[in-house]
Amino acid sequence: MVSRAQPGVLAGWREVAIAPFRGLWSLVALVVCWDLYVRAHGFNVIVLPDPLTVARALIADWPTYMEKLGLTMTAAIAGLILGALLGTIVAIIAWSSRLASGMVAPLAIAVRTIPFIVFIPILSRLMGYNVKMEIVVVTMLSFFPSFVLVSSGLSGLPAAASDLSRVFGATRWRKLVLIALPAALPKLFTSIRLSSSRAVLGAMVAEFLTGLDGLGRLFLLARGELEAERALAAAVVAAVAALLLFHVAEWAERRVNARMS
Amino acid sequence: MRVAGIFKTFPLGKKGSVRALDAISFDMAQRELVAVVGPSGCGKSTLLRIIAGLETPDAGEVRIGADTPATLTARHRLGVAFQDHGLLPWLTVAGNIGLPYRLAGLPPDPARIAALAGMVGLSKFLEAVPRQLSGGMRQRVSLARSIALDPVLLLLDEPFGALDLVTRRTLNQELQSLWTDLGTTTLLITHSVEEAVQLADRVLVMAARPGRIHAEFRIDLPRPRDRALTNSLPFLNLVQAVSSSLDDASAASGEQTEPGA
Amino acid sequence: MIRQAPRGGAPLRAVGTLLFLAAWEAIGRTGLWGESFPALSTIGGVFVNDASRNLLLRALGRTAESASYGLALGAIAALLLASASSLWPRLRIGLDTLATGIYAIPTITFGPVFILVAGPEATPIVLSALSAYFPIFVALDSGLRFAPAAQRDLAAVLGASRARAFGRVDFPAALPAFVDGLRLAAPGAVLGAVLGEWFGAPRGLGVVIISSLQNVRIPQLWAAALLCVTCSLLAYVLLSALHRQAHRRYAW
Repeated sequence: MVSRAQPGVLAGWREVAIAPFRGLWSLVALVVCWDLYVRAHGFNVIVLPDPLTVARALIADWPTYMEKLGLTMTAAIAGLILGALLGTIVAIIAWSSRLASGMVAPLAIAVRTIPFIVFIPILSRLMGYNVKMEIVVVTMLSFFPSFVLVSSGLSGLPAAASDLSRVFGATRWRKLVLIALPAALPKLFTSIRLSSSRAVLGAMVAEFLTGLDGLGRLFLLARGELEAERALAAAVVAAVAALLLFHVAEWAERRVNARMS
Repeated sequence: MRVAGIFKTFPLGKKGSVRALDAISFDMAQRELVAVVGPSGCGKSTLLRIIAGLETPDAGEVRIGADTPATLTARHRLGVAFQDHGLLPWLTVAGNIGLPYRLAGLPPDPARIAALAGMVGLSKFLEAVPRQLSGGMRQRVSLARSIALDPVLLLLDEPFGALDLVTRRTLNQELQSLWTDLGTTTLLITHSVEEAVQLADRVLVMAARPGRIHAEFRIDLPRPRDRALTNSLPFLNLVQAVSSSLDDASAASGEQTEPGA
Repeated sequence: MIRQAPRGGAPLRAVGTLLFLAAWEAIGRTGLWGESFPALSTIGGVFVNDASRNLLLRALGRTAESASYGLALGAIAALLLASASSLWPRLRIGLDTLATGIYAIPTITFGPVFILVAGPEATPIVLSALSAYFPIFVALDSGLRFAPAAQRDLAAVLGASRARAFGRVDFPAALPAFVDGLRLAAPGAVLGAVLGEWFGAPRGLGVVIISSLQNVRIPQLWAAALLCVTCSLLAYVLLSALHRQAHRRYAW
């Protein structure tokens, strides 16, 4: 009668560590293609560095890359969490007022269609070239998906749960705290996973466009084509970090889903 | 409890409307257990939802002593168990049984919760979560939850409707003393005649379209109604009588829809 | 993604939109949020001037062109790889990882690579294709996977080869999903093109955005950003119409 045991935290971590590498052949194939491409065209290092040159650049200046990565990821994660919190709060407000809940459907379309990233230059004009702006950018990017998904979680409550709170004479507030919010929690985590790559993108674009310190600024070097291998090393670091963030978010989502359903 | 002249009509697309309940009236004595049987679509669940205050009738009224359904839920003294158990997947058995307390804003009493779990035979599973339980065990939790607040009126809507026949029989054998010991006025909706006759003091047979009371049977069998009794001739005769009345009711059920706006 | 009954109804939404636009105009007129937040009318005024209008519309054309090529390229790649993973299930894990990777890695990360490999002219197209690839691949993949089992069984019973069953059953069944993927991918394609332009393309809305920012031409900056939004919305609306058509024809 007792169904399968809960996966332990250890197994969970193994999933985080291994899941990204299970289908890695396709990524390895990409690196090999890159190497062959460089060799076939006999490019010199300045035009397009081969993987080994990039790896050497990465190792040579490892502490710098880690420092820049730290800056970028701090802004990305801070904004991601702030946006998710803000989205949840506004979703609760929308849930409790009929007028505000009319906003959910149009905003859901806005999330799908509006490229918020193109407003980064405008935001930088409005707020100045500083870290606060960078965090606001990421917050804005992750706010909308969280708002829309948590809203759908709150209003998509199973009928049985809704009836229950009415029959037992619960106030709207107790219904929210005891039933609706916990039921919407998986949706919140889904939104965090979906926003994770956008968060890193937003932080890096902000750095790239305004010259704020971080991995994104290193990309300016690629335009000069003089230190291409450093830009590519930064790209590799950013890619790995973004992948890890995505998989951690995915793992957290799975844990919450297993617990809440 | 008195149910007086309940009418309920549901709109049916643009073509018209269907009269779900037509002049339903009956009384229930204190401590009485009344079962309602009827063909599917006869409106028995609608009747229960009206008595629970989840829907409002077009005409007629429900009185529980001096209370209406609304005042009874506001006093947190109504108990309900649905076919869809509506357990919250993230709460343990203890948490689910204690949920009515928290929804009502009352402090949960661990001793009371443990006693309730004991009454439905789940003492050993207080810390289990619903996903680890079988369907029958989940319904036991749902029943314990329905009586947690010591209700004045208990409404059971096909509580075992989703279970297989064997589990259903076992639960009815095991739990029938629960209803008699509890002495709560109880309305049981079921489609099993055998279940109705075994548990109830009185059985109401409903006919469909429009939903109305077709016949009434008083069940004067001694309690406890154990396996020996349910195999006895008087019991089988009663089941036979209710069944053939149910057949009449089905035959008498019209297909009428009313022309409407 | 989300289907919700609009509780407010159309009039309420219209009132909301009008209020939003009015608030924007008022904030801009009063200069509440400074010079960087112009009134809508000021932004619209950019289009009155012939020179700036031509500049913006040429840039829009360029970006729309890159995004269209990118969308087409992403769609072709998704079509090939999703078909491959349907025909040879062994490839699936790797191709799934590739798609997830492309989604999880921010598009801008590919910028330095392609600015070197493909050059500044083609980078917008490539980044646009990369952004478009994921939604189309995922939609197609699930569409191919959930082709009605009964039909597939019928094909198998009739002795159709795997390839024939794919062409006759799986693929037509997945067409609505494909168009749905296109629709969801369109805004990403526009964004990818703009990102690519930021890496040093000679023309396009992204270039106008950067140069307006550097020359402090605020209304033009806003106009360019809003054109990006318009372009993205328009693509979404057009492909949604196509999606409805495809659904009507091929849905089960």
